[in-house]
Amino acid sequence: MRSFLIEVDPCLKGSSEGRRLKIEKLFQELGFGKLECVKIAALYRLEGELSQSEAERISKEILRDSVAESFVVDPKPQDEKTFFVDIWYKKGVTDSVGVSLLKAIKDIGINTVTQAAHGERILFHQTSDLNNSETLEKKVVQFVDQNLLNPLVQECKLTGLC
Amino acid sequence: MTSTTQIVLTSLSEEELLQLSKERLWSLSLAEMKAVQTYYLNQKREPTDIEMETIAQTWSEHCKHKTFKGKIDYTEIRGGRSYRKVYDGLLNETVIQATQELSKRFCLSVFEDNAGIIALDRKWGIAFKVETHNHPSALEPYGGAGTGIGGVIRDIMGVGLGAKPIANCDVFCVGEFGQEKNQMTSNLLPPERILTRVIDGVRDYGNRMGIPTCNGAVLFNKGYTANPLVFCGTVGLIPRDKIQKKVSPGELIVSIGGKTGRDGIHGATFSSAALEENLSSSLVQIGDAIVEKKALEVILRAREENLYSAITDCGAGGYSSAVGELASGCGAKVYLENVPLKYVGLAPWEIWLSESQERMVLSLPKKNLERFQMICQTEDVECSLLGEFTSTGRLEVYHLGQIYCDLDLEFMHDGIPRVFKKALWREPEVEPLSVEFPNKLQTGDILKKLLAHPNIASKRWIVHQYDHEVQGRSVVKPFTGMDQSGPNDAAVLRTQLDSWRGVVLSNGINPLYGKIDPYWMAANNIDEALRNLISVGGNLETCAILDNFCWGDVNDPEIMGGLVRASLACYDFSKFFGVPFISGKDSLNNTWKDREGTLYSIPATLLISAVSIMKDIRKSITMDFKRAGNWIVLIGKTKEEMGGSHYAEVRGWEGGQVPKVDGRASKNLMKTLSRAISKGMIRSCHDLSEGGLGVALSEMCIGGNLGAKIDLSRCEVCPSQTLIPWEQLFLFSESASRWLVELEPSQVNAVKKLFPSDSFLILGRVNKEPVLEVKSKKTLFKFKVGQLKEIWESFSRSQE
Repeated sequence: MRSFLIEVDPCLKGSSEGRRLKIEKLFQELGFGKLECVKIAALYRLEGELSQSEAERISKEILRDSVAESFVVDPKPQDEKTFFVDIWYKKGVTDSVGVSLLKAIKDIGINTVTQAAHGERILFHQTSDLNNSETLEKKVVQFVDQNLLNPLVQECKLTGLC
Repeated sequence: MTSTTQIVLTSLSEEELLQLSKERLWSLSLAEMKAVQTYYLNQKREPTDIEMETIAQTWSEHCKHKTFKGKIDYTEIRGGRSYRKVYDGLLNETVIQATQELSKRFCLSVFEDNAGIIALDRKWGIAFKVETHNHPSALEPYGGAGTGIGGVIRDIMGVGLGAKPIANCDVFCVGEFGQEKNQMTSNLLPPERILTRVIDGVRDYGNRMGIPTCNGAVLFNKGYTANPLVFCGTVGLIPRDKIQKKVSPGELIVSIGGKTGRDGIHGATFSSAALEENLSSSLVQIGDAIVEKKALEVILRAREENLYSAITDCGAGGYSSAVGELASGCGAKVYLENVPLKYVGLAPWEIWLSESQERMVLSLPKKNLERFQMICQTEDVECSLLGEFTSTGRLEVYHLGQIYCDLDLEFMHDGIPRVFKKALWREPEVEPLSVEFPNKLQTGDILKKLLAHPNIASKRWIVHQYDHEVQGRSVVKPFTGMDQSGPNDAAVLRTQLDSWRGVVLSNGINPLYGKIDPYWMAANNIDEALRNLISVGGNLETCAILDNFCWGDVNDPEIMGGLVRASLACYDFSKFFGVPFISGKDSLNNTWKDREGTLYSIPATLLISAVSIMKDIRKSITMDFKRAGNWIVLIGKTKEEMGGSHYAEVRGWEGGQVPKVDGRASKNLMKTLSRAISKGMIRSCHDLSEGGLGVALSEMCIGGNLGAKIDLSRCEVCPSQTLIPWEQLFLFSESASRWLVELEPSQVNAVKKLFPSDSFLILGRVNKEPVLEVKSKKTLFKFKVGQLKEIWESFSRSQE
């Protein structure tokens, strides 16, 4: 069983700028400190016996709008100060985009994917006034839990902070 | 009957019955629990969990409208005298009675199916339904609102033998933005997040279904902070020979659409109870518009081939309600193992009660099954055979050979004890508006504050997320004018491309008046919905309206008294205007409890939605000023009615008289204006509502990017009884039944002759220079239209 995370980003400059700035402002206003919100991307998780090339084909043919979006399979944080917060539906909550995706993957003739899920990735960059990674992780998770997701149906996972 | 899931009920005391109802989230009262207990004592057995869940869903306030159908002992205290009347079914004696007395021939189906239907022409009907999805939207705004719009679309898909949805509308009531968290709101989602996600939910569902969202409103009030209101409406097109449905014993029970999971279990009973903390995520439903879109295609194809004889949607209560409703005149046998599941592990009662979305239930003659399955296959829609309709009068539910439910359908539908409620209304003492002086705010400052008020400000950031063009029917759209900035009063849709006929959609809502007197709130809401409709070219002759009552704790006699008052106004003004109600829905007990257990109610809220047929959509008009030099005329009378106005709100003043509606005078004005518009005598028209004349003038200038010179010195108005300067009263009063119209100079005398002299007031002219100047003896304000637009759009920009 393999698992791929696919990040789909808007190519256009300034996309989701309003929301990014709002997140930065809210983080600061709520007293968590200063944090840079680098981007917000759609996130997909594919599970099954699929290959890297199949994951890329799915990304190209189904997930990405070839004019306005780009994609990366299994991206890693670019530096030690960059980290992701991934927001997913909790187990048992209907993920209709994930269900449609699974169906679409079968429609293009790929039968190796057994699970598909849809989420959101928010990429942050650590700033100088928030150097303690442990404290920062707590703060970010608390902030996201309280402000960017609905804990009744969603949960988040932080990746990349050392 | 053998069952492993029996519930001990027959031996319980009253206290234990109530406790059981609460523990199981059934929301059944003691009288209802006792009625169920008696039924099972007579049956000499205990109920199963499926039976109890089925009864609880069927008897919920959400499904049965117990309060509106119950007995209400109403006392009204007026002028020191007490007046008492017992209503034996409030809905029947007010809203429905008005419709029956009006007996309009264009009403094809009223209060009997999933939606009301009026005649479009000889061949087609227009179906219209508005629903609410409040508690789910408070918990999970995206899923709640998405399934709200998805659910009302299914109502249209399941009306008669199925209608094609052609337009959506939505109205949201949420808490004010920027509130500090406190004891009451600490664990709630903030209004900013609720509204954003509600919009996302409605947008994603409506857009993905390919249905234009054409009309709506958003209201902000602290009273909705914990319990937002999400009204979703859909209009459908249905052939007139496909309005009747009839189930026959022997026909198959077929389900199409989505799979079944644990989504929304207890939704119907949950929506009838107070919101509390620590609720389960199983109450949340997440919709899938693509599945519903495909199911719609199956329905429309199968309808044209006459493959089924009845259809309904799976809404609150899931299969229990849908099958129970279709089987009400005959009987049904259902085999739950045939239901396609999202995942394994669901108990039989969960399959039966699940509110998973996008499911429709049909009654299909056996001979048509193969053809129907073929259509499902080509449209890629899951189709399952659940069982068959019988003539036993019983609802029988099996799972893997074991019977889990064997209920007498007559008891299930009619065994519910009548609800009895007390209602009290004390005539409010009209306190003069608490005007505080010295008056530092100048008239121009007030206009700016009003334009920036979230209730009045542009909702561009919301409207632009919705597709209002898809299907190519939209004629008058949400925005109009040079750069699509002017807010239209109503939507006009061309129903078919081979005809100029169309429909007009509008709404009226204002909870601020309800705080003072729900009777006049209801009257004003009807007036507002109708004057919006008239503004774009609609007419009263083919108009029908819908009611959506959202009320608080109706066990409180005074809150219940307000509901009676509003219902009485619905009767009175439906009759005054000659406009029938064709459908409606109530959502009562919109309350929530804080950590201390204190119960709060929302402001009494009534949404009136209106629909009317236009013979020729080319006669429709918009609200933006069209040409410099044209005359600007106020139609209607302005009175000192500042209670509940936005003027009073921005000044922080309370009390005062809410606007009253003179039904007969208003009807005459509407008919006259409607005729003038249909004859092409009016260039633009805008109704006066929130913010009054000042706001309407500004919006018309913004829409046309033209200015206006207004001279109030010739205006005869009643002298102010308070210390409010009369110019402010004239500019910001929200008196009902008023419009601002733009007339070509050549038409002024002809139009003037049509109206009573006291309801036709020339205010000034449209000006090429985009400046709005209002003067009386001196200039009251002079603003560039660009500046007004900047202020009016500032709230929207802050949300983009």
